[in-house]
Amino acid sequence: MKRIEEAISFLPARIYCILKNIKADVVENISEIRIRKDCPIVIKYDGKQFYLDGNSNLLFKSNDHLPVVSGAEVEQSFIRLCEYSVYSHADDIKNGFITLKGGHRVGFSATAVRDGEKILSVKKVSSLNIRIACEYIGCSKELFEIMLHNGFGNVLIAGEPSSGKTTFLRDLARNLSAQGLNVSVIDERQELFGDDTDFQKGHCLDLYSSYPKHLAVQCAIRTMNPDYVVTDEIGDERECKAIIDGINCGVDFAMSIHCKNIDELNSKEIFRRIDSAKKFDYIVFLKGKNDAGTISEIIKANER
Amino acid sequence: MRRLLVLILAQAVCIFSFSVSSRSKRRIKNLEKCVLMFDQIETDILFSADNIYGLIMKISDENSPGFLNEFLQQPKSVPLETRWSKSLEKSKHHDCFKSEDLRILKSFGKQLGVTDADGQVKNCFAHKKLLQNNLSAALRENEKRGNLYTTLGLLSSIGIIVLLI
Repeated sequence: MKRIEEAISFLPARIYCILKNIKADVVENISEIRIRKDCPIVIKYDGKQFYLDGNSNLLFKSNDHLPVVSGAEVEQSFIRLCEYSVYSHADDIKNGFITLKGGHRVGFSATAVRDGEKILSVKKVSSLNIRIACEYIGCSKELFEIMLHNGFGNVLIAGEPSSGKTTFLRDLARNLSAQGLNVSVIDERQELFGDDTDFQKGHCLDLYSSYPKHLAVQCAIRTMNPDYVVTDEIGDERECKAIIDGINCGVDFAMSIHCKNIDELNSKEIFRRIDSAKKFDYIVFLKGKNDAGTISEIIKANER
Repeated sequence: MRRLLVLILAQAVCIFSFSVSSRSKRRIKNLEKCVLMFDQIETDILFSADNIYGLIMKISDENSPGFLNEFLQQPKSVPLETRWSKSLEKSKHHDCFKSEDLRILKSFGKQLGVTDADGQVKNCFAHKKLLQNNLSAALRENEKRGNLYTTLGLLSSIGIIVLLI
């Protein structure tokens, strides 16, 4: 309940009340809340989408009697989400999301204010997607036991969006830290551990929060002497270069990437560059949206 | 009995004159504090990017305008613009602001925090300029009439005593 309350605290009173009155057993398993201008509230529960009526009941299908969210309420939510300080979230806003206390990520769609290719700010926010950060302690246990048996090494967690990559990485980082390995977590978007969350961390975890990944990787390797560097969603050229440099320095990495299967993975330029000499000792595929944080397949380097 | 009444009347006139003079001085002092506040907010937004609550908490002390402390005492659930405007209304007598000062400060509160850093800096700059105009006018007025109120108060009190006793 506390997690959901953290995630919805910025919403206007009317929407907050509807969400707060959802039955306790349902609340625990909500993974997403969608707020759209002139539309009913939608939640994702147990991997399925439901609409909410005025009494906080879950409905499979929408109808004309459901309470809808007004444009003013969406705008108000956005300003409150920014803690009335839009200027202090400028970079996040350009990237289309803001991370709340507790690691919950709120994505939004809006009209961009641009200067050529550069996004300066946004206006007319029309929808919000609140993704509830969850903690599945033990979801990486199977992989961790294999690593304990076969030796540690570079790990790539692959899965489609909402498959639980971040949750899995968080659990893996915690296990590595609990094992006494020095783990540097690069948490650019404050989703893995954030700077103000109560996720268990173990005793050997150093957190780089809000740093750009490529700078934090260099910083961690130079100054923290990590056994492992854990980072979420590798994306651009600079990050790729920093990771390759790090691997060549003898540091092990655990990271995640968006992709469904091995074919998609092999088609990714970033993967091919990092894995040029079979750098990944373990590639873990996660099952998918309906089974977040669950392993589908573990491929070891010698099996490829 | 008559003497006592005369003394009370004289004292009342004297206190009224002093109060008019001191309210004008207090308004000047608070306008100066507000101008300083705009500078502080601008610097903080540019260099520390603290959120509005953190920022106001940081700059509010015994040297800041009274409405900032009032702002911090109001519940966080109230929208920022409403909190800002309510705190100004509540402390307008204490801070001795005139309606033209309040109008500028309220307009500043409407834009506070809702734009990017550039927008906030421009918001601070524009409202600081407007408030500086009011401050200059208040200083001129005080120079002209400040001592006048005090002197008139004293003289009229003495006059009342002399005439009635």
